[in-house]
Amino acid sequence: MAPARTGRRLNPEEDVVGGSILPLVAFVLLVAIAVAVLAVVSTPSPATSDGDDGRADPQPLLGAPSARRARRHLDRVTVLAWLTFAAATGVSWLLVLDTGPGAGLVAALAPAAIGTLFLLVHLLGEITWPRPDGPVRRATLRHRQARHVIGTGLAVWAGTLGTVLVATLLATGFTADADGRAVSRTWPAGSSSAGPYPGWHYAVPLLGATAVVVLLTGLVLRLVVLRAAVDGAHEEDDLALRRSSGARVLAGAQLVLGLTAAGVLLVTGSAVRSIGLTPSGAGGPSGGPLAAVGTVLALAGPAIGLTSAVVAVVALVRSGARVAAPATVRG
Amino acid sequence: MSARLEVDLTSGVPAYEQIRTQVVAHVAAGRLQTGDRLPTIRALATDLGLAPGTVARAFRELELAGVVLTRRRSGTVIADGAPVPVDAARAAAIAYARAARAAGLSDEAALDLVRGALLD
Repeated sequence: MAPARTGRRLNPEEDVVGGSILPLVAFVLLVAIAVAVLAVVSTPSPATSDGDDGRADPQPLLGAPSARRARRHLDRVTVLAWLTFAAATGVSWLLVLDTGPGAGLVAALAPAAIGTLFLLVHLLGEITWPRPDGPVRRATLRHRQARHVIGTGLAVWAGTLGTVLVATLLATGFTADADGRAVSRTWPAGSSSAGPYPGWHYAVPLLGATAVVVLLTGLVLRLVVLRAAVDGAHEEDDLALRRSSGARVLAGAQLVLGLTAAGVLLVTGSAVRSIGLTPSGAGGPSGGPLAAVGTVLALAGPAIGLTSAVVAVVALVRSGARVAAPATVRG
Repeated sequence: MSARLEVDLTSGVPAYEQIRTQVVAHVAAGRLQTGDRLPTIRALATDLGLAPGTVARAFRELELAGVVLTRRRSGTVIADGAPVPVDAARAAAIAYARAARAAGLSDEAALDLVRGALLD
Protein backbone atom coordinates (compact mmCIF):
# COMPACT_ATOMS: atom_id res chain seq x y z
CA MET A 1 0.00 0.00 0.00
CA ALA A 2 1.36 3.40 -0.89
CA PRO A 3 1.99 5.66 2.09
CA ALA A 4 -0.81 8.11 2.76
CA ARG A 5 0.03 11.73 2.08
CA THR A 6 -1.83 14.62 3.58
CA GLY A 7 -1.17 18.23 3.13
CA ARG A 8 -2.54 21.71 3.26
CA ARG A 9 -1.29 24.47 1.04
CA LEU A 10 -2.82 27.81 1.66
CA ASN A 11 -3.52 30.20 -1.12
CA PRO A 12 -0.76 32.81 -0.66
CA GLU A 13 -3.33 35.58 -0.81
CA GLU A 14 -5.43 33.86 1.81
CA ASP A 15 -2.38 33.52 3.99
CA VAL A 16 -0.83 36.96 3.70
CA VAL A 17 -3.94 39.07 3.66
CA GLY A 18 -5.26 37.09 6.56
CA GLY A 19 -8.90 38.10 6.46
CA SER A 20 -9.96 41.38 8.02
CA ILE A 21 -7.74 41.58 11.11
CA LEU A 22 -4.46 42.49 9.40
CA PRO A 23 -5.80 45.62 7.63
CA LEU A 24 -7.15 46.77 10.99
CA VAL A 25 -3.81 46.18 12.71
CA ALA A 26 -1.97 48.01 9.91
CA PHE A 27 -4.40 50.94 10.17
CA VAL A 28 -3.99 51.20 13.96
CA LEU A 29 -0.20 50.99 13.55
CA LEU A 30 -0.09 53.77 10.97
CA VAL A 31 -2.39 55.99 13.06
CA ALA A 32 -0.14 55.46 16.12
CA ILE A 33 2.96 56.36 14.14
CA ALA A 34 1.23 59.37 12.58
CA VAL A 35 0.31 60.64 16.06
CA ALA A 36 3.92 60.08 17.23
CA VAL A 37 5.33 61.95 14.21
CA LEU A 38 2.94 64.86 14.82
CA ALA A 39 3.91 64.91 18.50
CA VAL A 40 7.59 64.96 17.54
CA VAL A 41 7.42 67.77 14.99
CA SER A 42 5.17 69.93 17.17
CA THR A 43 7.57 69.80 20.13
CA PRO A 44 7.87 73.36 21.47
CA SER A 45 11.13 75.24 21.07
CA PRO A 46 13.10 76.27 24.16
CA ALA A 47 13.68 79.94 24.75
CA THR A 48 16.85 81.56 23.49
CA SER A 49 19.46 82.32 26.14
CA ASP A 50 22.75 84.19 25.96
CA GLY A 51 26.08 83.00 27.23
CA ASP A 52 26.71 83.89 30.87
CA ASP A 53 30.03 85.59 30.25
CA GLY A 54 28.89 88.00 27.56
CA ARG A 55 31.06 86.36 24.88
CA ALA A 56 29.79 84.94 21.62
CA ASP A 57 29.25 81.54 23.14
CA PRO A 58 27.36 78.88 21.22
CA GLN A 59 23.66 79.12 21.97
CA PRO A 60 21.32 76.36 23.06
CA LEU A 61 19.72 74.45 20.26
CA LEU A 62 17.07 76.46 18.40
CA GLY A 63 18.53 79.64 19.87
CA ALA A 64 20.66 80.21 16.78
CA PRO A 65 18.93 80.66 13.40
CA SER A 66 21.08 77.95 11.83
CA ALA A 67 20.03 75.56 14.59
CA ARG A 68 16.36 76.36 14.06
CA ARG A 69 16.87 75.69 10.35
CA ALA A 70 18.52 72.34 11.16
CA ARG A 71 15.64 71.32 13.44
CA ARG A 72 13.11 72.28 10.74
CA HIS A 73 15.05 70.23 8.21
CA LEU A 74 15.06 67.21 10.53
CA ASP A 75 11.30 67.49 11.13
CA ARG A 76 10.52 67.84 7.41
CA VAL A 77 12.60 64.76 6.63
CA THR A 78 10.83 62.83 9.41
CA VAL A 79 7.35 63.74 8.12
CA LEU A 80 8.31 63.01 4.50
CA ALA A 81 9.90 59.68 5.44
CA TRP A 82 6.81 58.49 7.35
CA LEU A 83 4.43 59.75 4.65
CA THR A 84 6.50 57.68 2.21
CA PHE A 85 6.23 54.74 4.62
CA ALA A 86 2.43 55.09 4.77
CA ALA A 87 2.00 55.59 1.02
CA ALA A 88 4.28 52.65 0.21
CA THR A 89 2.32 50.50 2.68
CA GLY A 90 -0.92 51.33 0.85
CA VAL A 91 0.58 50.71 -2.58
CA SER A 92 2.11 47.38 -1.52
CA TRP A 93 -1.24 46.34 -0.05
CA LEU A 94 -2.94 47.00 -3.39
CA LEU A 95 -0.15 45.14 -5.17
CA VAL A 96 -0.64 42.11 -2.94
CA LEU A 97 -4.40 42.14 -3.57
CA ASP A 98 -3.87 42.60 -7.29
CA THR A 99 -1.15 39.97 -7.74
CA GLY A 100 -2.14 36.41 -8.49
CA PRO A 101 0.19 33.49 -7.76
CA GLY A 102 3.15 35.63 -6.66
CA ALA A 103 1.25 37.51 -3.93
CA GLY A 104 3.06 35.68 -1.13
CA LEU A 105 6.47 36.82 -2.32
CA VAL A 106 5.22 40.38 -2.91
CA ALA A 107 3.81 40.48 0.63
CA ALA A 108 7.01 39.03 2.09
CA LEU A 109 9.17 41.65 0.38
CA ALA A 110 6.79 44.56 1.02
CA PRO A 111 8.23 45.65 4.43
CA ALA A 112 11.78 45.69 3.07
CA ALA A 113 10.70 47.65 -0.01
CA ILE A 114 8.83 50.14 2.19
CA GLY A 115 11.87 50.38 4.46
CA THR A 116 14.18 50.99 1.53
CA LEU A 117 12.06 53.95 0.39
CA PHE A 118 11.89 55.24 3.98
CA LEU A 119 15.67 55.03 4.31
CA LEU A 120 16.23 56.66 0.90
CA VAL A 121 14.24 59.69 2.11
CA HIS A 122 16.48 59.86 5.20
CA LEU A 123 19.54 59.45 2.98
CA LEU A 124 18.38 62.40 0.88
CA GLY A 125 17.76 64.35 4.09
CA GLU A 126 21.32 63.76 5.28
CA ILE A 127 22.80 64.67 1.88
CA THR A 128 20.87 67.96 1.91
CA TRP A 129 21.60 68.72 5.60
CA PRO A 130 22.21 72.49 6.04
CA ARG A 131 25.87 73.36 5.70
CA PRO A 132 27.64 76.18 7.52
CA ASP A 133 27.54 79.31 5.39
CA GLY A 134 28.42 82.18 7.71
CA PRO A 135 31.75 84.02 7.71
CA VAL A 136 32.71 82.50 11.07
CA ARG A 137 32.72 78.70 11.28
CA ARG A 138 32.95 76.69 14.50
CA ALA A 139 33.70 73.05 15.17
CA THR A 140 34.63 70.83 18.05
CA LEU A 141 37.98 69.06 18.14
CA ARG A 142 36.43 66.02 19.77
CA HIS A 143 36.47 62.90 17.64
CA ARG A 144 32.89 61.90 16.94
CA GLN A 145 32.07 58.20 16.86
CA ALA A 146 28.99 56.21 16.00
CA ARG A 147 28.54 55.15 19.63
CA HIS A 148 28.12 58.83 20.61
CA VAL A 149 25.23 59.15 18.16
CA ILE A 150 23.40 55.83 18.06
CA GLY A 151 21.34 54.78 21.06
CA THR A 152 22.59 51.45 22.42
CA GLY A 153 19.18 50.02 23.32
CA LEU A 154 17.63 50.74 19.93
CA ALA A 155 20.70 49.46 18.07
CA VAL A 156 20.77 46.23 20.12
CA TRP A 157 17.04 45.68 19.53
CA ALA A 158 17.40 46.26 15.77
CA GLY A 159 20.43 43.94 15.70
CA THR A 160 18.48 41.27 17.58
CA LEU A 161 15.59 41.51 15.12
CA GLY A 162 17.98 41.21 12.19
CA THR A 163 19.68 38.20 13.75
CA VAL A 164 16.35 36.48 14.48
CA LEU A 165 15.19 37.13 10.93
CA VAL A 166 18.36 35.84 9.27
CA ALA A 167 18.59 32.80 11.58
CA THR A 168 14.93 31.92 10.92
CA LEU A 169 15.31 32.28 7.16
CA LEU A 170 18.44 30.09 7.14
CA ALA A 171 16.70 27.47 9.27
CA THR A 172 13.57 27.44 7.11
CA GLY A 173 15.66 27.46 3.94
CA PHE A 174 17.47 24.27 4.97
CA THR A 175 14.36 22.50 6.30
CA ALA A 176 11.96 23.28 3.45
CA ASP A 177 10.98 20.90 0.66
CA ALA A 178 12.87 20.94 -2.62
CA ASP A 179 10.50 23.52 -4.14
CA GLY A 180 11.26 25.93 -1.30
CA ARG A 181 7.59 26.67 -0.63
CA ALA A 182 6.48 23.96 1.78
CA VAL A 183 7.67 21.81 4.67
CA SER A 184 7.00 18.10 5.15
CA ARG A 185 6.99 15.46 7.87
CA THR A 186 7.27 11.84 6.86
CA TRP A 187 6.71 8.60 8.75
CA PRO A 188 6.69 5.00 7.55
CA ALA A 189 2.99 4.96 6.83
CA GLY A 190 2.66 8.37 5.25
CA SER A 191 3.66 12.01 5.21
CA SER A 192 2.27 15.44 5.80
CA SER A 193 3.08 18.66 4.00
CA ALA A 194 2.13 22.28 4.63
CA GLY A 195 2.78 25.61 3.05
CA PRO A 196 3.47 28.35 2.39
CA TYR A 197 6.78 27.94 4.20
CA PRO A 198 9.74 30.30 3.80
CA GLY A 199 12.13 27.93 2.03
CA TRP A 200 14.75 29.21 -0.39
CA HIS A 201 12.04 30.38 -2.81
CA TYR A 202 11.14 33.06 -0.24
CA ALA A 203 14.29 33.09 1.90
CA VAL A 204 16.80 34.10 -0.80
CA PRO A 205 14.93 37.26 -1.89
CA LEU A 206 14.15 38.05 1.76
CA LEU A 207 17.80 37.70 2.79
CA GLY A 208 18.79 39.97 -0.10
CA ALA A 209 16.16 42.56 0.81
CA THR A 210 17.18 42.43 4.48
CA ALA A 211 20.81 43.00 3.48
CA VAL A 212 19.76 46.08 1.49
CA VAL A 213 17.84 47.48 4.48
CA VAL A 214 20.74 46.82 6.88
CA LEU A 215 23.37 48.32 4.55
CA LEU A 216 21.21 51.36 3.83
CA THR A 217 20.60 51.87 7.56
CA GLY A 218 24.36 51.72 8.19
CA LEU A 219 25.02 54.22 5.41
CA VAL A 220 22.43 56.71 6.68
CA LEU A 221 23.70 56.42 10.28
CA ARG A 222 27.26 57.00 9.03
CA LEU A 223 26.09 60.18 7.30
CA VAL A 224 24.39 61.26 10.54
CA VAL A 225 27.73 60.90 12.35
CA LEU A 226 29.69 62.71 9.63
CA ARG A 227 27.29 65.51 8.71
CA ALA A 228 28.19 69.14 9.37
CA ALA A 229 27.81 70.37 12.94
CA VAL A 230 25.00 72.85 13.56
CA ASP A 231 26.74 76.19 13.42
CA GLY A 232 26.36 78.20 16.60
CA ALA A 233 24.87 75.43 18.75
CA HIS A 234 26.36 73.86 21.86
CA GLU A 235 28.30 70.68 21.15
CA GLU A 236 25.87 68.76 23.38
CA ASP A 237 22.90 70.16 21.47
CA ASP A 238 24.46 69.19 18.17
CA LEU A 239 25.00 65.69 19.53
CA ALA A 240 21.38 65.60 20.73
CA LEU A 241 20.22 66.47 17.23
CA ARG A 242 22.38 63.69 15.79
CA ARG A 243 21.03 61.21 18.37
CA SER A 244 17.53 62.29 17.45
CA SER A 245 18.23 61.68 13.75
CA GLY A 246 19.79 58.29 14.54
CA ALA A 247 16.79 57.28 16.64
CA ARG A 248 14.32 58.27 13.91
CA VAL A 249 16.25 56.26 11.30
CA LEU A 250 16.52 53.23 13.58
CA ALA A 251 12.84 53.50 14.57
CA GLY A 252 11.84 52.86 10.96
CA ALA A 253 14.58 50.32 10.23
CA GLN A 254 13.75 48.16 13.25
CA LEU A 255 10.04 48.35 12.39
CA VAL A 256 10.79 47.01 8.91
CA LEU A 257 12.94 44.20 10.33
CA GLY A 258 10.32 43.49 12.99
CA LEU A 259 7.43 43.29 10.52
CA THR A 260 9.42 41.04 8.19
CA ALA A 261 10.43 38.78 11.08
CA ALA A 262 6.82 38.76 12.30
CA GLY A 263 5.54 37.60 8.93
CA VAL A 264 8.25 34.97 8.53
CA LEU A 265 7.67 33.56 12.02
CA LEU A 266 3.89 33.56 11.62
CA VAL A 267 4.03 31.71 8.29
CA THR A 268 6.71 29.32 9.56
CA GLY A 269 4.82 28.61 12.77
CA SER A 270 1.53 28.01 10.95
CA ALA A 271 3.11 25.50 8.55
CA VAL A 272 5.05 23.68 11.27
CA ARG A 273 1.96 23.53 13.49
CA SER A 274 -0.07 22.18 10.62
CA ILE A 275 2.26 19.23 9.90
CA GLY A 276 2.59 18.58 13.63
CA LEU A 277 -1.17 18.32 14.08
CA THR A 278 -1.67 15.95 11.14
CA PRO A 279 -2.75 12.57 12.53
CA SER A 280 -0.13 9.92 11.79
CA GLY A 281 -2.36 6.98 12.55
CA ALA A 282 -2.17 4.30 15.22
CA GLY A 283 1.45 3.57 16.21
CA GLY A 284 2.76 6.50 14.19
CA PRO A 285 5.15 9.12 15.63
CA SER A 286 3.63 11.91 17.65
CA GLY A 287 3.63 15.33 16.04
CA GLY A 288 2.90 17.02 19.37
CA PRO A 289 6.32 18.63 19.91
CA LEU A 290 6.34 19.93 16.35
CA ALA A 291 2.88 21.39 16.82
CA ALA A 292 4.03 23.05 20.06
CA VAL A 293 7.07 24.60 18.34
CA GLY A 294 4.83 25.79 15.52
CA THR A 295 2.38 27.37 17.97
CA VAL A 296 5.19 29.19 19.79
CA LEU A 297 6.61 30.51 16.51
CA ALA A 298 3.18 31.56 15.26
CA LEU A 299 2.57 33.49 18.49
CA ALA A 300 6.09 34.95 18.59
CA GLY A 301 5.63 36.53 15.14
CA PRO A 302 2.77 38.92 15.99
CA ALA A 303 4.35 39.61 19.41
CA ILE A 304 7.58 40.74 17.72
CA GLY A 305 5.68 42.83 15.18
CA LEU A 306 3.64 44.52 17.89
CA THR A 307 6.74 45.16 20.03
CA SER A 308 8.51 46.71 17.04
CA ALA A 309 5.57 49.03 16.47
CA VAL A 310 5.60 50.11 20.12
CA VAL A 311 9.38 50.61 20.00
CA ALA A 312 9.00 52.77 16.87
CA VAL A 313 6.41 55.01 18.52
CA VAL A 314 8.41 55.32 21.77
CA ALA A 315 11.66 56.04 19.88
CA LEU A 316 9.94 58.73 17.82
CA VAL A 317 8.43 60.45 20.85
CA ARG A 318 11.73 60.29 22.74
CA SER A 319 13.63 61.66 19.76
CA GLY A 320 11.36 64.71 19.84
CA ALA A 321 11.90 65.25 23.57
CA ARG A 322 15.67 64.92 23.09
CA VAL A 323 15.92 68.07 21.00
CA ALA A 324 13.25 70.01 22.90
CA ALA A 325 15.30 70.94 25.97
CA PRO A 326 18.47 73.06 25.83
CA ALA A 327 21.77 71.62 27.05
CA THR A 328 21.68 73.75 30.14
CA VAL A 329 18.72 71.85 31.56
CA ARG A 330 19.29 68.45 29.95
CA GLY A 331 20.61 65.72 32.19
CA MET B 1 35.28 72.22 28.44
CA SER B 2 36.00 70.60 25.10
CA ALA B 3 38.38 72.14 22.61
CA ARG B 4 36.69 74.08 19.85
CA LEU B 5 37.88 75.74 16.67
CA GLU B 6 36.67 79.01 15.24
CA VAL B 7 37.66 79.94 11.71
CA ASP B 8 36.95 83.45 10.46
CA LEU B 9 36.80 83.42 6.68
CA THR B 10 36.96 87.22 6.52
CA SER B 11 40.28 87.27 8.36
CA GLY B 12 43.48 87.89 6.44
CA VAL B 13 44.95 84.81 8.11
CA PRO B 14 44.49 81.69 5.93
CA ALA B 15 42.00 79.16 7.30
CA TYR B 16 44.62 76.40 7.58
CA GLU B 17 46.81 78.70 9.65
CA GLN B 18 43.91 79.57 11.97
CA ILE B 19 43.29 75.85 12.49
CA ARG B 20 46.98 75.16 13.12
CA THR B 21 47.45 77.96 15.64
CA GLN B 22 44.26 77.09 17.55
CA VAL B 23 45.20 73.43 17.85
CA VAL B 24 48.61 74.47 19.18
CA ALA B 25 46.88 76.86 21.59
CA HIS B 26 44.58 74.10 22.89
CA VAL B 27 47.59 71.83 23.42
CA ALA B 28 49.43 74.63 25.22
CA ALA B 29 46.41 75.29 27.45
CA GLY B 30 46.12 71.60 28.31
CA ARG B 31 42.69 71.20 26.74
CA LEU B 32 44.20 68.71 24.30
CA GLN B 33 46.53 66.16 25.82
CA THR B 34 48.83 63.43 24.59
CA GLY B 35 46.85 60.67 22.90
CA ASP B 36 43.68 62.74 22.41
CA ARG B 37 42.18 61.88 19.06
CA LEU B 38 41.31 64.69 16.68
CA PRO B 39 38.39 64.50 14.23
CA THR B 40 39.13 63.08 10.82
CA ILE B 41 40.08 65.56 8.10
CA ARG B 42 36.77 64.92 6.35
CA ALA B 43 34.67 65.35 9.50
CA LEU B 44 36.41 68.59 10.50
CA ALA B 45 36.20 69.96 6.96
CA THR B 46 32.46 69.14 6.88
CA ASP B 47 31.86 70.79 10.26
CA LEU B 48 33.71 73.93 9.20
CA GLY B 49 32.32 73.97 5.66
CA LEU B 50 35.86 74.05 4.27
CA ALA B 51 37.63 72.03 1.59
CA PRO B 52 39.27 68.88 3.00
CA GLY B 53 42.58 70.07 1.52
CA THR B 54 42.54 73.10 3.84
CA VAL B 55 42.21 70.93 6.94
CA ALA B 56 44.71 68.43 5.54
CA ARG B 57 47.30 71.19 5.14
CA ALA B 58 46.81 72.31 8.76
CA PHE B 59 47.18 68.73 9.99
CA ARG B 60 50.28 68.23 7.81
CA GLU B 61 51.95 71.30 9.30
CA LEU B 62 50.99 70.21 12.81
CA GLU B 63 52.56 66.82 12.11
CA LEU B 64 55.74 68.42 10.79
CA ALA B 65 55.93 70.50 13.98
CA GLY B 66 55.57 67.36 16.10
CA VAL B 67 52.24 68.44 17.62
CA VAL B 68 50.20 65.57 16.18
CA LEU B 69 50.80 62.08 14.88
CA THR B 70 48.79 60.39 12.16
CA ARG B 71 48.40 56.66 12.51
CA ARG B 72 46.64 54.38 10.08
CA ARG B 73 44.39 52.80 12.71
CA SER B 74 43.80 55.48 15.32
CA GLY B 75 43.76 58.54 13.07
CA THR B 76 45.31 61.85 14.10
CA VAL B 77 46.28 62.10 17.77
CA ILE B 78 48.14 64.61 19.89
CA ALA B 79 51.79 63.53 19.92
CA ASP B 80 53.71 62.53 22.99
CA GLY B 81 56.04 65.38 23.86
CA ALA B 82 54.16 67.95 21.82
CA PRO B 83 55.85 71.30 22.43
CA VAL B 84 53.97 73.03 25.28
CA PRO B 85 54.98 75.94 27.50
CA VAL B 86 56.05 75.34 31.05
CA ASP B 87 53.32 75.21 33.67
CA ALA B 88 54.01 78.64 35.10
CA ALA B 89 53.67 80.33 31.71
CA ARG B 90 50.50 78.37 31.00
CA ALA B 91 48.98 79.40 34.31
CA ALA B 92 49.91 83.01 33.64
CA ALA B 93 48.33 82.83 30.18
CA ILE B 94 45.08 81.45 31.62
CA ALA B 95 45.03 84.15 34.28
CA TYR B 96 45.67 86.81 31.66
CA ALA B 97 42.88 85.49 29.42
CA ARG B 98 40.44 85.69 32.35
CA ALA B 99 41.58 89.21 33.20
CA ALA B 100 41.22 90.31 29.58
CA ARG B 101 37.68 88.93 29.42
CA ALA B 102 36.77 90.56 32.72
CA ALA B 103 38.01 93.85 31.28
CA GLY B 104 35.82 93.37 28.22
CA LEU B 105 38.71 93.13 25.76
CA SER B 106 38.18 91.43 22.42
CA ASP B 107 40.45 88.49 21.57
CA GLU B 108 42.34 90.63 19.07
CA ALA B 109 42.88 93.47 21.57
CA ALA B 110 44.08 91.00 24.20
CA LEU B 111 46.52 89.45 21.73
CA ASP B 112 47.78 92.91 20.73
CA LEU B 113 48.69 93.55 24.37
CA VAL B 114 50.61 90.27 24.51
CA ARG B 115 52.43 91.05 21.26
CA GLY B 116 53.35 94.44 22.67
CA ALA B 117 54.65 92.86 25.86
CA LEU B 118 56.73 90.40 23.87
CA LEU B 119 58.44 93.32 22.10
CA ASP B 120 59.90 94.55 25.39
